[in-house]
Amino acid sequence: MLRYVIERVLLIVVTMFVVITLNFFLLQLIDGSPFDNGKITPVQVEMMKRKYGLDAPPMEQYLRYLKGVVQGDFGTSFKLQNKEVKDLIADKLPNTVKIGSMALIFGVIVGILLGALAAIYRNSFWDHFVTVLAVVGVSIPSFVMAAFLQYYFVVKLGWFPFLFQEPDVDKGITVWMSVHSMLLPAFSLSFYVISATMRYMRSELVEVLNSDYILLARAKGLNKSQVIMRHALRNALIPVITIIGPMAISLLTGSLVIEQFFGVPGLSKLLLNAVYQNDYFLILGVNSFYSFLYVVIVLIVDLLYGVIDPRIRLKGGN
Amino acid sequence: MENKEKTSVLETENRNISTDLFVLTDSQSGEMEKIATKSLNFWQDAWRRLRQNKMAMLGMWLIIILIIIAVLAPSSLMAFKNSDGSPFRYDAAPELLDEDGNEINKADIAFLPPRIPYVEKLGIFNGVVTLERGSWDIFIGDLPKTDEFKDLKKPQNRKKLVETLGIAYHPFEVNVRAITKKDGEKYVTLWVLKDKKEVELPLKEMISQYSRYQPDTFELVKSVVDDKGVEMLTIHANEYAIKNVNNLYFWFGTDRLALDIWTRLWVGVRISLLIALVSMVIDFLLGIIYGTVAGFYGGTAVDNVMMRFVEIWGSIPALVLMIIMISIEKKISIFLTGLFPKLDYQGIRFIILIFTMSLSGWIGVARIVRAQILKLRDQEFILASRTLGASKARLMAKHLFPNIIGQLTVMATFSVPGAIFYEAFLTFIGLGLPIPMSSLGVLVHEGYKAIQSRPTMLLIPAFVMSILMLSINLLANGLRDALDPRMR
Repeated sequence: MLRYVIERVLLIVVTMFVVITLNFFLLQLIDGSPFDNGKITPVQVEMMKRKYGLDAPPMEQYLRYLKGVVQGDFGTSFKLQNKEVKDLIADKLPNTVKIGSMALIFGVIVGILLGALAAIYRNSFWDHFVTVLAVVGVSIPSFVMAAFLQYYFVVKLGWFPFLFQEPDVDKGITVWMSVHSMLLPAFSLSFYVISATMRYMRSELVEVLNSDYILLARAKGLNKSQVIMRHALRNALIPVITIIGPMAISLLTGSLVIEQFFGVPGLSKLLLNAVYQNDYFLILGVNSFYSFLYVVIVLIVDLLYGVIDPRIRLKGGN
Repeated sequence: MENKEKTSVLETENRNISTDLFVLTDSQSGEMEKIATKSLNFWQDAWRRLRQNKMAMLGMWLIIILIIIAVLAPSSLMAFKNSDGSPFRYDAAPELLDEDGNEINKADIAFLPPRIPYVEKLGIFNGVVTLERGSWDIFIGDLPKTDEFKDLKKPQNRKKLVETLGIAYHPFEVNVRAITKKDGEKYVTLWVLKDKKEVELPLKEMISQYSRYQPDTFELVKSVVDDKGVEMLTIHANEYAIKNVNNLYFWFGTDRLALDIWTRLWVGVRISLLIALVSMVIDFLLGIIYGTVAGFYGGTAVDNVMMRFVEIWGSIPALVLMIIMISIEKKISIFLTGLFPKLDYQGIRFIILIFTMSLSGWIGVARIVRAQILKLRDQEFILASRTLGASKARLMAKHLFPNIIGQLTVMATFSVPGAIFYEAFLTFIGLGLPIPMSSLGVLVHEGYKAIQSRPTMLLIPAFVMSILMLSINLLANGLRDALDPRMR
């Protein structure tokens, strides 16, 4: 087990190295410098470049950047008041995480419930409903969903605020109002999560319910609800855990547009603005952070899978 | 002892049956081996199972219908025609003549809501939009930008303005209570603030010649006066009547550049499908080649290196690769222009879009192909074929490939809605096709920008996109059940 973990961590290090290298050199191709501005003279541009260390040859910059990364320094943003990239990320991450985790938790719970219902009452109305809903859910992109929701619930009915609101005592925005404004973005993101979880849960539970040990449990006199709660659900949940990782990543992709729609000052908005403004180190930092998040989530899910399901504990484990 | 006695009794009884009671029948051994139904090959069998899947068939028919409309609608067979008889173009405003033979101004056919003949009588697609306007906008409208009118706009000149425009009251002096229709003429009931009394007068006496909302072009829904005394009127305005183009029908409306959305929508469906197909082909070509090579050298150092590469490349989120592409898009298009000087800007954006989508798409295919080949390679039928002297190419083509084609077909079908999604996604974050081009992503993005005033511009393409993705997903689900050998 330990060897496996070390191997995986090593792979993460290699992957991160590749990501940073790839990003660093490809982003050198950005058209125009971050200092493209008619108001500053070429001399000033030169001074700025020296200040940020952009006058050195790429290879030297690269080595300096790598050294910085190892020491936890990801450079500074050019545009946003010289703030450090890691501070900016730490600043914006909570909003993205709040909405993302809200969508993920809500989506997974609803998905598991609906999927379980469909599997238990197979071929009933519920089952058909869930099956259709699952296909519809994966077929409607989250931003289309967000647009529909925004149109009906904000523009037409006025039930929700148009934009995301951060809790702010001075402006009289309470935590509850902030949560209220997060509901629509979270729900539009969760639609995909619901349908994916639902579909997975249903097929897993159907398979488990048809297996022999369930029959044995029934034969030994346990009633149906006991069998489902104690034996079937647990076993069906194991594979469902594996898709949570990829789903969390797909939420990040979706949040890119959702955050634009609802004006959420989150990580994705930071990233897109950085792209539009040629903010080199910021793009590099957020991109690396995304990749890091991705590989770590995948690793956690894989390890979790081994912990929960003793059947696939790896060789050499205890 | 006892047994023996019994047998002998039986024997005595049977002795009475003569042998000529028995007749030899024909040999039936051949009949038993015969297969009664027609033998089906893999695809026929899959097709038979697919046909039994109602949802998959629904999806298939929807796709066929959508494709037929997408092919016919913008072509000369079904399209709306310009005055010279040529079909509407997706990238140029329609050229139409009014009843007097004069060319209609582009501004008069821009940004119109949907209107469909016959359907309009049901109250939908009738060219009517719901608007919220201040009473000034409705009763006075846009005054010419001359010094005279600038002066009249001042609050102290209200009386003079009313006289100049020839209307009964200044909109700020009254609140609208109701608009009623009597004997074919519209009357407005006003609450006069100064006199605190209600008056009723013909609507046309309240509307200046500069207002775009003439009496016959709108219905009042409600009027709200806020606590500052500002009156907002909600109206149902018939844009076709306002722009005086009552004889025209744009089924799905027009956008701000006066481009016909019906034509753009179906061209967009074509282009989105084309993008999805091209990127699918690239993903699968790359993936199959890579996976086959890796699988062929399975277990060796070559395979090891190749799979490590896939592992690392696959660990980079597609989003990160896309962000890099967006950031350096200008340099790439300069590079591509140098490479293909004949290509225009649209073509270059098309290539970049597809390239971006293919950056990570092939990984999954390569993994599956390699895994399948490794699994199949050691099976007995391959060994048998090899023993008979089959070449590697023959093994590949006749044994390995037919066994993975089912799974690949399913994956390919599932990748189409994914590609349609990514196209729209990339358009939203700024890597889509340039504006006069049309694709579902472009249309949805355009529609989103106009969501407040023309929600149909978003709802229609979003609906078509969802239906298209839904039906392909349904078909793919059915294909998976029909083709996947594990399901048998």
